[in-house]
Amino acid sequence: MKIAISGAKGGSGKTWLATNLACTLLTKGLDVSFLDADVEEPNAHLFINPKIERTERVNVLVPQVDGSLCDGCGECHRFCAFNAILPLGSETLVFHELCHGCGGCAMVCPKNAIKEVPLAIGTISEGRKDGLTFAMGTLDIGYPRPGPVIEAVQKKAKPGSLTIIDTPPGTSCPVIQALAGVSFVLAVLEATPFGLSDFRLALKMLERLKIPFGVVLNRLLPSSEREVMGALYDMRIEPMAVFNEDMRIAKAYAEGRLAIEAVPGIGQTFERLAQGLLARVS
Amino acid sequence: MKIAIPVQEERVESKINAAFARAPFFAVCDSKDKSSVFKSNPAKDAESGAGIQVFKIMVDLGVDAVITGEVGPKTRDLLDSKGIRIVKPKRDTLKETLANLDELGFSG
Repeated sequence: MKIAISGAKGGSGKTWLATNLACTLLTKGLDVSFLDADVEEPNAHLFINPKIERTERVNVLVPQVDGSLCDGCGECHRFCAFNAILPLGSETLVFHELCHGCGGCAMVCPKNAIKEVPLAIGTISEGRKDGLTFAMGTLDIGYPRPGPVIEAVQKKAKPGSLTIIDTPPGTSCPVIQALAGVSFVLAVLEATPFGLSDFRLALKMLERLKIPFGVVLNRLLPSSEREVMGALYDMRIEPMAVFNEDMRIAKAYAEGRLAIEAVPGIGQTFERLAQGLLARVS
Repeated sequence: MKIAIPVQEERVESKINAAFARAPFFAVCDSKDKSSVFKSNPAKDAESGAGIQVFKIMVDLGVDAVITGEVGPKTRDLLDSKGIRIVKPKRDTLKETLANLDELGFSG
């Protein structure tokens, strides 16, 4: 069973919710895996503090051209929808950052001058914390496509465990990849006009993907309560949990501490959320 | 000398397009007789690497220089590698630019 924490806007509290929720579920004696799929800026480990036991590199396949066989015909360039390969007379340039690794150039090459070779683009780190299985992906700086690293981290969930996935923000390809195979999404709504706008985009995405979801309202202020609650009412959505804007939570987060351990009363809200979640997904 | 200029429309009165590789058309101009031939840009809506595709087109056309305001870093490196000059325009339209090529350092 995979549950993803998502919901569009960066800074809405996805990692905060995911880490506190996973540790709450762990205290209930459940077998929990935590996957940090926000591979462009993974930071859940700062709060979970796992002992990293293994790391491995993630490779994609990119073309390598044998200049002694290439006659510069340009078939590879004409085939590539991403303009990742360019024959220039005697040499052929390959732009790794544009290559999607489809292998089409090697297939269409009439001289069999192209072979696919691995290119490392990121790292998977695996470890444990008090019985929790932890894995995170880290995309190498400068490589623009996180998809393959996200796919690799998804395979690190312990089979049969309750898996919590921290997704990247937004509604584009990396998030879609992180939601592959997910049974339920907790969508975090930051209670601001900007948060509400991004949340609406996230809901459209979840409806298209046909993934059931629940909503957690975060950082609620009295000044925004009317607008946000009104909008949720119009959408016929009742949040599964509500967290008020709270300087104590922000302070604990800045110190790399879990709110359920650092802020009195928050643990009970997470306890109720965990119960509600288990009731929804079982 | 052959000069390529990204333009918005297929006419000499057209404005120069701000971006290079995503321009709808290129005016391929002769610096001597100021004539231009228009080519539509197949890379305009490319998923990625428009600059790379356009660079290939420039090489195939045998262009010596491009007049453009903006050009991406990869495209700039590629153009530099083939010795294709990159010059910033000083006028808004193709017509005015061609009439004043000397102010951009083109001797004709």
